[in-house]
Amino acid sequence: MILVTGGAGFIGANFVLDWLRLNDEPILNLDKLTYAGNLENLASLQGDPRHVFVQGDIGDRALVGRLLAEQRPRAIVNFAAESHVDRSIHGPEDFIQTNIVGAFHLLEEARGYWMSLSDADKAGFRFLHVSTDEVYGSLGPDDAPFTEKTPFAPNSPYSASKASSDHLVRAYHHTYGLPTLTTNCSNNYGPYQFPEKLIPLMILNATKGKPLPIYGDGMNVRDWLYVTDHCSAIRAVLDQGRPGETYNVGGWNEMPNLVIVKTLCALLDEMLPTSPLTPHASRLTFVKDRPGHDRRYAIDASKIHRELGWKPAETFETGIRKTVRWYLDNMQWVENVASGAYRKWLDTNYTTR
Amino acid sequence: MKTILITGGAGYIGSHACVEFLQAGYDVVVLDNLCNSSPESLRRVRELTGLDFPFVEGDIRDRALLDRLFCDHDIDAVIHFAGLKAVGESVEKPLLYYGNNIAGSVTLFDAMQAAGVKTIVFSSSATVYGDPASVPIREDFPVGGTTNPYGASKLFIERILQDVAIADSAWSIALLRYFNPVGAHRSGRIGEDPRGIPNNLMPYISQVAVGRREHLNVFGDDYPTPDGTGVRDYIHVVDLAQGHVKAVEKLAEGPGVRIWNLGAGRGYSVVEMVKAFAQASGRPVPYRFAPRRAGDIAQCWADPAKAERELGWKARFGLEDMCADTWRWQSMNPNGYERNVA
Repeated sequence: MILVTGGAGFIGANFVLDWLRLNDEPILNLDKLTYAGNLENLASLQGDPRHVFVQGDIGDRALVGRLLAEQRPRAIVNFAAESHVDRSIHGPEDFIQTNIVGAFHLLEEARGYWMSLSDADKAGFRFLHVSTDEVYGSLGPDDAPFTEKTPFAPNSPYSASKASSDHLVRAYHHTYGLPTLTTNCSNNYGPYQFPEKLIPLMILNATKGKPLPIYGDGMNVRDWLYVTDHCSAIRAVLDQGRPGETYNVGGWNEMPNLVIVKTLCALLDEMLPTSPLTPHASRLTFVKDRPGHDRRYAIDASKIHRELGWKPAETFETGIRKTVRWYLDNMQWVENVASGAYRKWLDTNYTTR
Repeated sequence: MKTILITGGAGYIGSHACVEFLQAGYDVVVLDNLCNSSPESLRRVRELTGLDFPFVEGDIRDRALLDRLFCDHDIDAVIHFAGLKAVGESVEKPLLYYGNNIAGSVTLFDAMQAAGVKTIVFSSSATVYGDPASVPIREDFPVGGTTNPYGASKLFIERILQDVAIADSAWSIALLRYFNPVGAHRSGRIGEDPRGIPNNLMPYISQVAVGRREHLNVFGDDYPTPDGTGVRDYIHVVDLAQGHVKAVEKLAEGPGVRIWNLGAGRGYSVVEMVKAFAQASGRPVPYRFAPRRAGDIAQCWADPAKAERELGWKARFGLEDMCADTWRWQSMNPNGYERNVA
């Protein structure tokens, strides 16, 4: 049994689904079901005894302590986090609470539980913290990609909160000996991503004939990691990673936002040849850049390749094609997550620009 | 393992256990103080099985009576049902509950020890798990956090038996943690006959359906469950009774303490139960939503895999049987045993 937190969110749900597709070790899934958590992502696991779902907060120490005592997991994989940079700009509080204070409480309960284990179980236990490459800050066009040794320089409340929890995780290893692992990944994309993020938002807007807003000049560069690859990287780190280490996870796909959106539009033109909205790229509109918008992230993921033999299976071309296909095939899912609250949020972010 | 003493054998689960043990070929002796049961149930057990057995009217707190009983009968194992079981009443009368359940059990165990009878199946409850954070509930979940003297008495008795086993390794002990027993014998001759206002859902529903009560209060419609009402694991009392036969067979393999959940392994919500019962009975079951009751948890069901693996036991009766059998009992005995002594 492993405990996965945030397992109803985008990356967490993909991780849970992949995990249970690949092996029979049960998952205890703790998720608060905020706006980004969606049990519909896990609908295929209905009635599957290998999946135990609990709605709750990683910061609820009584609950977490009780769950650990009941289920006795051999590992914790912490996906639970507020993750959307724009939201962290409008309201950083939730980010501090969940990403820092919540992670601290989870670490404390994990430490207490870990201390109670037998020596053999103690040695085998892992606390894997899933983080982001945004903790490293921003790069100029010619700077070398982030390595695990790059000093932290977070620029948004979101990345600052993640950097903070990364430090706590590191401290729990060095101070208490908790066998921790940290992964810092680049931008994820793929099925089940909440349509506030670039790729699903653009697919959704394009298929509805809505404008396709691009921040600034659209030349902000990100590395793109297909979510399934991210999940396989986490499994590799969980299996073979050295306690106390951090591992960068990247897709080896640096791409400006504008190219992403144009690629999406071309794929939509191809997959929806009879759509009256073709060419989809005709609705590209440039909007004022967001504050603190990092210019470029690039990640050097050679350590995980060198030490654990992991490399992504998807290229950007194959990954983005799968993603567009998935969203077109799952429009009902998209409709269902496009709740009133979500639309209201989109309004405050984009109508004033 | 031939002669079984069943304490509380005239009660709801006890009477069904009598039937199953008798039909499995055991000799049965029943001890019951009839404080919350009717000797009529035992008459009907005899009628159903065509088998006779001794009935000792008496109390487990009566040590002299117990000594005499163990002297008069060559008991191989005890199935210990005797106890008070109303959660609300236990809060009002803790000493009554601790006296009956704990002092009574200690007296019984002591008399067993003295008589050299060291095999016991104890009627425990899922209430010992307190408020579980996850479901399904496995036997290795932590126990504790009970919220009332009834639950605490079950927890303490489990602990007492575990300590007894530590002190004397000759004891063979089964702790059976029941989920929510419902239903009745298929004949409609024996069933649950609560005195006064029922504490449990199923007898309440059936009394509404038969017209004895106006409507059902559903406590809480805002739990994090599919329809907002509490979800519980309901287990047919005949399945439950058969679990005791299996447990006695298993205890014959050797000493030690063994714990098994006896549950169906799936939950039904209150509203699902009401609908199924209305369907099975063909009667309307009007209900109203009321605020949550203190101490009630949102959902609770068993992981019954251990019982299946080790006892070869699993619940065979589903929701339809539970409702149909409850209704048969209720409609054939609208006022229970007392006023229908035929």
